[in-house]
Amino acid sequence: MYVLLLLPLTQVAAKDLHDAKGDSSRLLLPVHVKGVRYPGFYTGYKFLSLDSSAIQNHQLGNLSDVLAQNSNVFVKSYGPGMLSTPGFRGGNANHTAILWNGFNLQSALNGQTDLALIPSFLLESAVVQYGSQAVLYGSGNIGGAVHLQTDMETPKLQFLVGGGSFGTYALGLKSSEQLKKLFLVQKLYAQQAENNFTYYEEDLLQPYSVQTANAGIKQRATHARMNTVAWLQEYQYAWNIKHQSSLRTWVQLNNREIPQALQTPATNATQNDRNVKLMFDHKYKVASNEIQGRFGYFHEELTYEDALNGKSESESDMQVLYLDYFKQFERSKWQVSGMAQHVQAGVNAIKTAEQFNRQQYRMALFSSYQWTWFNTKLQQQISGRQEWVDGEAIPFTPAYGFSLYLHKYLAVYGNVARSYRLPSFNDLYWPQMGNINLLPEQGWNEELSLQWKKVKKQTTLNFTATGYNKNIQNWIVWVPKGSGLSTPMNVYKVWSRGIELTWLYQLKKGNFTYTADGLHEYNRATNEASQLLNDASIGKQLIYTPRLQHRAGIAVHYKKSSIRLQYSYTGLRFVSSDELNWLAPYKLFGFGLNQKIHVLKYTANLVFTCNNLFNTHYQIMVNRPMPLFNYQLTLNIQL
Amino acid sequence: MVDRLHLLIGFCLVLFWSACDKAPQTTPMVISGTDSNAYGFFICNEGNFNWGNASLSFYHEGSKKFFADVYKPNNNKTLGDVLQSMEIIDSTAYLVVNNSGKIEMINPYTFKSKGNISGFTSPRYLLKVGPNKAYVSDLYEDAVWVVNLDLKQISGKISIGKWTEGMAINGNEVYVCGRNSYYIYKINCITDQLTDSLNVGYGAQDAGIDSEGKLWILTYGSSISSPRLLRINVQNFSIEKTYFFAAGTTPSRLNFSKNRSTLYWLNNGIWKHQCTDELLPAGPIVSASGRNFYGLGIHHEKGEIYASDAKDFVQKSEVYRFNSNGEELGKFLTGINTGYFYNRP
Repeated sequence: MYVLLLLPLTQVAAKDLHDAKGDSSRLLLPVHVKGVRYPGFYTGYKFLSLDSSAIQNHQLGNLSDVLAQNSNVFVKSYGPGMLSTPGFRGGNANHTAILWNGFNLQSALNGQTDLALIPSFLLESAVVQYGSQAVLYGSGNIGGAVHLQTDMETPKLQFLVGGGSFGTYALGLKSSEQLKKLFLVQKLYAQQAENNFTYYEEDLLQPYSVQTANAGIKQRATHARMNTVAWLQEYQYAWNIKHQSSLRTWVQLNNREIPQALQTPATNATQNDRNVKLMFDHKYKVASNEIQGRFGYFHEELTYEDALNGKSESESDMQVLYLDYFKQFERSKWQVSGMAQHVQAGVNAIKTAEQFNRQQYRMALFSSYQWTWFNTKLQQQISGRQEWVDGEAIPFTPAYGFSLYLHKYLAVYGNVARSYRLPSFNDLYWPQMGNINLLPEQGWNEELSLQWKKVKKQTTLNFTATGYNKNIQNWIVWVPKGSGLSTPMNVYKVWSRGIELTWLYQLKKGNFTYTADGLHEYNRATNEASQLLNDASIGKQLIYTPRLQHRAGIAVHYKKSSIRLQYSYTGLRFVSSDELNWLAPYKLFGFGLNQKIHVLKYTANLVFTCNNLFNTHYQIMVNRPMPLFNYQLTLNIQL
Repeated sequence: MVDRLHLLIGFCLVLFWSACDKAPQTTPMVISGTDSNAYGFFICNEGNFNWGNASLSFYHEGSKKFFADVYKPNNNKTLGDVLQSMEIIDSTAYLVVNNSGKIEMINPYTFKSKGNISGFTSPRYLLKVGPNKAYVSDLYEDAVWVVNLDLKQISGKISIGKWTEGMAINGNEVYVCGRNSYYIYKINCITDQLTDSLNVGYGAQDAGIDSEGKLWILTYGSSISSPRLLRINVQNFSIEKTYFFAAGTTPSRLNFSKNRSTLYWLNNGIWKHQCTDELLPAGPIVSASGRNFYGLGIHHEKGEIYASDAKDFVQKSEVYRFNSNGEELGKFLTGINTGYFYNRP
């Protein structure tokens, strides 16, 4: 289901890789990683690729579902289709960049990306990058990043029709066409859901959870309807062998009703998101030199309204320009880039008369140099970035990475990198509460991985153990200001460390392929120092940061059929920073059935997935119940 | 064979780790409800917005024990979302649960639930205005609710047009703060009619009557209206004295001493002011010194000052005890976001 893209596995024969293709899991050479900007400049980093089979099981869903079930990214979900934000390695959504062709989609206003607004159908795959690559991507890339891949290599024509629990229906269309030098892709997606999911109304807040009046009575969510319409286009034009241009646009409308939290009255809250993303790039390549120019424009509008607060509108416009130069030497390569960015963003809360509209300019220069020694057995990379925000320089960001083959099957790799996160516009400028004196969060990340990988004709075994360490200062926390107001301050110094184990076993016997895989993480993310007096959070785990996570699955693939059983365990999450309140761990089971059907020259792919098989009662966020058993059925027809 | 061994090890790891994320062991301290009529001190912990983790703490003078939550263990149910304030009238404590839109009623000695009054939008404070009659201010309703305490239900609503906040009563007149306006409003509590209003500067939040029968109002101000403390003559409903705070400061939580001759409030520290003083004090009697003071209360029997430090909003507040001169006497942990204190008679 997922693919480990670990470093320089050049000894792995290409034939073996090719043989593995078509199974639920594929092992790829790092140079084959798609959808990642600056390929080849990630020496010492670990990746997890969520391939098309992982995406296919969630074509009625969104990136939140894909990540939650197939990676150890912890998704803070307020419910199906509701606000869902990512975090891993002890970071939160402000520390997790969501990148599309190298452009960061984090909101300028709150510094987060709502994963529920990224339909899976638009994606060909997604790549999870562990650890900070602040040198390449700047602010907001402390814990890691998720790279979205909207591939040009889509089928000529593909229809999706699907339905599922809670009145969910979706239609999708993908088409690609090559007209001499022009290659174009169109993707259309529409989804509607009553989203009247079932749940039990329970007090799950520990340590003293109690029976509620409706305990044991299955409830149905009300006022949770949503619909999505998305249109993504990609055009690529090869002028000649040296010049190539591409244009991408992504327009999306989302309307959501927001169900109230338990124990609170209905407020008929709604949220409408309207997003436009546009990017243009031009590539010039000659011999060992390559120059790329990229421009991105991102427009976001969000209207929130409820019966109490009235209407609140927010809007942001961002223009970003990149210039990249790449030089390939015999045993090394070099990249140097420049970035200029302008952001204008504001909020207008009509009833409370809270409003602001500000702008910010950023510039950055960054460069990486990678070289190999000992017949490519040792690969190293040094990088650096200098960024200016409104003319003010922020601390220089260096990084170093390496990978080393110790044995035919054994590699060790790691990196040391500085990282930072600039305060969001809401942090800086929110009326009466913003703090323009906030400093960027910043710190150092270190990680070391040991990978054992063996690929034979019939079996594949991959086992990776990673240890990481991260120290971040000036962690921003909102604290009381008086008169019922609060304000953000640089309060914590956070130490995050942990161990990740990743494994995959695959066995081929005749027409059968058996696969078992797993991800396991132990994380401690603690506040080590505080600006607050007698802060009881010192030495304690950050809230909503699971200490333990497991994902495991087994799959059987037979000719055109496959079945997969999935297990996930999410450990205890503290919801108070003094570790005195928490939500209990939960386990979820699911399965997916995939059947390919060939009729004449057409291929149809029928996917049936079931989630929460055993009706586990759980909440990811306090008082936001998650759905009981649910299913999805999708049919993809390719012409 | 070796490959299969690794697979087995992998599955063992899953099973082992799945079982090892243990929760901390804690036991709730439950106070038996009928043990004493001794004086006590209630502490309202708001909890977090939408988390449903409001709690009611109680300091029992008889046993000198502190109980972090007397509602949930005694009633086996959650109190609700955001416990804003409380009031005891006769033998009932009224707990104003803001974001649950209700007022929960309990016996103030046994802590057992006596039901609730629902139908509010976002209730803030309750004030007794007559026999079996109370007013309830509301954040979003732009009105003051009239509540029949006998029938335990809302009996009416007085439209104000603004967020209503702190209230004070003098005779048959009730003074209501308009939190997002420049005004306080006067209501006749016999007729339930809005009779007058007075411009006090933006953001009136707290109100109280002193020993001389003067009305005191604390505003939190805006970018164009400095926060201020006002003394108002209720006879002619006019401002007698205005004390201005520095722009950008955020005074809050106006409290009175038991004899109602001394005022206390928070403003990056704890401030004390005699009602007869001509000027605001030069400095606080307690500096914040890294603490985020959020709630303030006065222990009427001891004359002690209680101030809560809400810290980062997501951990138990720490309540500091000071004597009336601001000397620290001790501190203890309460619940999340302690905002309101109430003396049980």
